[in-house]
Amino acid sequence: MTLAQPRIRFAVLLAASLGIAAAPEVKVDPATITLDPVHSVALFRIQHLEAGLFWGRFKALEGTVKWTMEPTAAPVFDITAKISNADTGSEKLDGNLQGPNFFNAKEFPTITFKSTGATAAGDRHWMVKGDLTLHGVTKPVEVDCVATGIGNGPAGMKVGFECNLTIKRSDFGMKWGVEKPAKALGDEVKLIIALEGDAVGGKPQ
Amino acid sequence: MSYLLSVVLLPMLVGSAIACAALLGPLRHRAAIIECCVAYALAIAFLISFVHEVDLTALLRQLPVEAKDDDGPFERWHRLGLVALVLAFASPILALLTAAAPARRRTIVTAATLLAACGVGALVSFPGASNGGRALVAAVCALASGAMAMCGLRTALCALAVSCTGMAGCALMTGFPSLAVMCVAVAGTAGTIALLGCVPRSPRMPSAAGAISVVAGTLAGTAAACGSAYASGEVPSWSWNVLAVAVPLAGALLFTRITSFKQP
Repeated sequence: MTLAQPRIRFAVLLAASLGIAAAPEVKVDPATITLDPVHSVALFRIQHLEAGLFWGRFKALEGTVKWTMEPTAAPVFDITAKISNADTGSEKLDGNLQGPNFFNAKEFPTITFKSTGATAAGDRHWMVKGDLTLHGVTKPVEVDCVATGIGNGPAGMKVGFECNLTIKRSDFGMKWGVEKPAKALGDEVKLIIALEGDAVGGKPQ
Repeated sequence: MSYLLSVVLLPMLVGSAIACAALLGPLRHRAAIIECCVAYALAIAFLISFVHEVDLTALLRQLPVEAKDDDGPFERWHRLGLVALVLAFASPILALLTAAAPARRRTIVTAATLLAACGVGALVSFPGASNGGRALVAAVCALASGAMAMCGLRTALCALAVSCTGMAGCALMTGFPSLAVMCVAVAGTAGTIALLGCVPRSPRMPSAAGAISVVAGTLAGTAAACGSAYASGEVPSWSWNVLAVAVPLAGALLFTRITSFKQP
């Protein structure tokens, strides 16, 4: 073995490693998915008088989702629901929900969710962490979130998500009906959030 | 059932007991004691109802006091409790002041009425309150207090009971049950004290002018302002103010002569 041989080997390894380091990284810009209010809705479920499970919804969710569309990369959510869009099928009940004993829409007109991180839970499935602001109180929550599909609409690419979470409304200061009057309404609220939006961007650089 | 006991019956019992002690106890011939106790009873009934209906921490949030581990929302309608708390503190002072300076009673009562009304207008800003709205709130409180001051004691209490019952109905119709139960508690207390005033042993008072008119008018005006600020479409916002002002005014115009009493 000559002295030159290890040097050559070292040079080859160095060049190879430099070559790898210098190779252009495939960086993907996330697409900005602007929510389509017609197809974005949050259903909520609450127990009434310890009996039936009552469903209502917030229509016309607004906001954006940033996502690279890669199965492992987590989306970043920024979603807003207007309290004035609460819909229970009863105008009187909708009015009551906006009153100070429930959402107090005059003081807290929106519910917002902003994601702060996520862990993968499967293919296009994540546990998304974020801050939920409801009734003027912001608390960290974890949302089970699935990308339900990527399709093509007349106006371009459509992306859909479904998110599930359960919260205790008393954690957000919405206590009426939990203890006083006792058990008039449940404390736990299950939320199913269906999102669909139009994707813009997201092409590899 | 325990809910209604705590938010309606307990405040009524406490308020009525305080007033009963003044109206039927050994000091019943001292007008200042009656004024002090009846005014205090109305304010404390509202306050007890508020604390049981909402929370003590909700009231503390309105004060520069930090409650431990409290991350609840700051809601402006909780200032109702703050108004009742201030009135509960101020009513004995006002009663003592008017008793100490009977020659200046009218001036003191007028000043207290305006101070309370302007305080509510300036400091208790419910959502959507413009400067004009605040002035309206102050005017409603002042007019309600002024109308109460023109009434005899029993007429003023009956007027407060009717106003608060009406506002409770409006609150229920607009999905504000918390305000409804507080109004019912005050209405029940005022009605019970008015009934106690019918007992032959009880003394006669010619006028509610003083701590009673200030507390009753300010409570009614503030509740009306709160109700109209949060009301949804079913009840027009002016109806709250009409209930607060027109009922005692009607009482003063229609019944004061009939129920005018001798000075004890």
